[in-house]
Amino acid sequence: MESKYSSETWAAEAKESKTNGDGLGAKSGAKSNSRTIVHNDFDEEDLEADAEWELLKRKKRQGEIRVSSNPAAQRILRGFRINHMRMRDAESGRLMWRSEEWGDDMFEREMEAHVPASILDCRAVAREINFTSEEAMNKFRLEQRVYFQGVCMEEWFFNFGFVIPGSTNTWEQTIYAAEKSAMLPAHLISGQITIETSFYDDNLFVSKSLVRIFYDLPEPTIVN
Amino acid sequence: MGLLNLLRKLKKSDDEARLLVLGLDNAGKTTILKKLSAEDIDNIMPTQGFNIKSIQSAGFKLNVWDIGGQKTIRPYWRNYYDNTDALVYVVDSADRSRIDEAQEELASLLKEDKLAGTPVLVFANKQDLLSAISASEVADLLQINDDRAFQIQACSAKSGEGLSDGLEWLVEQLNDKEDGAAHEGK
Repeated sequence: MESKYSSETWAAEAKESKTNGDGLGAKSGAKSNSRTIVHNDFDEEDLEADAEWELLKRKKRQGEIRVSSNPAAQRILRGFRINHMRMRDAESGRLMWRSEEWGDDMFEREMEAHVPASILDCRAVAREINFTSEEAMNKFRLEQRVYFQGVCMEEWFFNFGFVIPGSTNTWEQTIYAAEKSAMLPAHLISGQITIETSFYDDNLFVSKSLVRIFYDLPEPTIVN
Repeated sequence: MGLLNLLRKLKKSDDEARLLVLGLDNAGKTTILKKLSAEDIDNIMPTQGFNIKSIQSAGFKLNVWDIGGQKTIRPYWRNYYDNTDALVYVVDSADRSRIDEAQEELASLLKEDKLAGTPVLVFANKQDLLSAISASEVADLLQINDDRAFQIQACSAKSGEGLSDGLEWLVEQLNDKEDGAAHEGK
């Protein structure tokens, strides 16, 4: 059931998006296989000129944080929490980032993920979500969208199906790009990418979380 | 060979393949999967639900489902049988006291309609331990008497030994199945 809330609007708007129309449009199809980022068709000058306009557009197109007000969804939500999210270099297995320190307000505020800029050199990044559900669910599913400057770059749907009551579960997804795409420099995309994750039980919307990705230089020391 | 290689070697008429990994608690299911994706295997906790790995390459997806093996979780295994292309059954070869239990669980899996004809790879895990019994002993004790495709593979999730061989066999089975489907018979 594709009740997509405002995301449909975003997608529609993205098509007419001024800066990104050429460069990103080609790669931002609903089922893009490639791992994020970008053809660099606009230079820094354009970016600067459009900065203000971009800022205006940005607000509603980077996903959102939401909690359902439906009583059935609320019941699920009370027993539902994300324990952590992680990102690894899928080839070396190296942990690039983890969210453990976030606590349990993932459905209340936007999260920030500060990942080392070197993650942009990884050919594939494995993104992991670990969650607990007290309630059983029959058709649990997730929709994940990656936004860059208002454009949905990547969309991923996953059906978990049955969720065991009182269970803790992990979903890790890795997308291997056929070839490395041209990347914008870390400092240009840092803070511009958001990952929205929405949870549903069949058609019942439960909640959404939003993580904004920052590419940090120099690399912070991360244990692994 | 890791999971990505497996994915790349599969013939692709479907756009998705599903592996189901089952076995008693502490058999090493999660450790095997982590080892196959080059992850750290030092602090693995008992799985209290499922762990899924989704890998996508060139438009083709591989989903590997690892379901917890504790007794309280086993009644839920049945919820995950649908559309399974191959079953991976993991046995702790160093725990003789639970081989019978492992045998019983496997026997009841083989009776499941939804898993009928599904190829089964048994990983006789923990071969790095001195107390481990051999893969052929494991095969004997599991009393497998079934005419589906079956393979017992000795392995050590810790060292990684044997895992590739197991995956190679899986690729063969899945690709044979593809060929079979293409020729409309068998």
